[in-house]
Amino acid sequence: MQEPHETPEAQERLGAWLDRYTVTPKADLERLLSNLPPQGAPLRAASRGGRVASGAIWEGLLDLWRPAALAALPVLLGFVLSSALPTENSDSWEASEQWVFAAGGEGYYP
Amino acid sequence: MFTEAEEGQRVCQVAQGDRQAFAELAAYYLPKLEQYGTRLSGRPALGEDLAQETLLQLWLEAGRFDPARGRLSTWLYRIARNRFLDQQRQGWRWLGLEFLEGRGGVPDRELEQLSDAREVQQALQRLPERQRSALLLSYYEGLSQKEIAQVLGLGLRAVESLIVRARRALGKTLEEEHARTP
Repeated sequence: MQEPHETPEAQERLGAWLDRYTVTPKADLERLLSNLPPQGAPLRAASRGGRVASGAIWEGLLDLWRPAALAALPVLLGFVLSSALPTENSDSWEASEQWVFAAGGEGYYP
Repeated sequence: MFTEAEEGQRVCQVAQGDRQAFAELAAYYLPKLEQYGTRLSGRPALGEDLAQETLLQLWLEAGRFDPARGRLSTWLYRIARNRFLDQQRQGWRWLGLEFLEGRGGVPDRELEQLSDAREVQQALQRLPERQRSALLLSYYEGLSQKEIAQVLGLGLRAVESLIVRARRALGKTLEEEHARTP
């Protein structure tokens, strides 16, 4: 028994859909030709150093860094706020001296 | 379009550092490789990179091409596919569709085509990579089953089966998609 998507009509429709998925090439031949490395260069080094198109690399890095930056945002905000806002001990002479000591200051401790 | 003999001759010249011969091959294969890479990955930027890097490999390693093992086109598609698989293994996430952005002012008919293109692209991305490659190489690139077998490193029967399964799965997905959204 033939499934509905296997009929000749369905196969024709599939062909029509596939035909509509067109891709317009954009790669720059001149750029490729003007960036050719010396032929003796190892492939990996040439591919990295003489890279002619880096769009996908940047896209990939952005893909990785965007979520990381978003995840780190609350921590950064918390750090900034905790530094800016006075805490219970922040204005005491003793706390500030301890901080100098801990940060590698003169080592003075009352 | 080059004959096998013309291609072989140019590859020999490229191996000896002939930039003109390389330019002629690149002018022909750059758009084809980019189209294949874009459809395979679903990302135009990656398709562009894959095409350029594949031709860079031709420039650097033309001496390794063996015409007895197949045509230049199958060698190049094989390189492009291997590079795509390498990048996938490195954990890139390719979601695609950015080529559909920034389409302000597009007439309705073209919008409809873009919508179809997006559906096809998404359906293609759902296929296993081998099925997708086999279908793309067969339908869009016009490779014979023997040539596809060389690209994928499979037997003829396996390729035939991959194409049939790919068409069946793709047809089913798109029919269901269209049944949901009249």
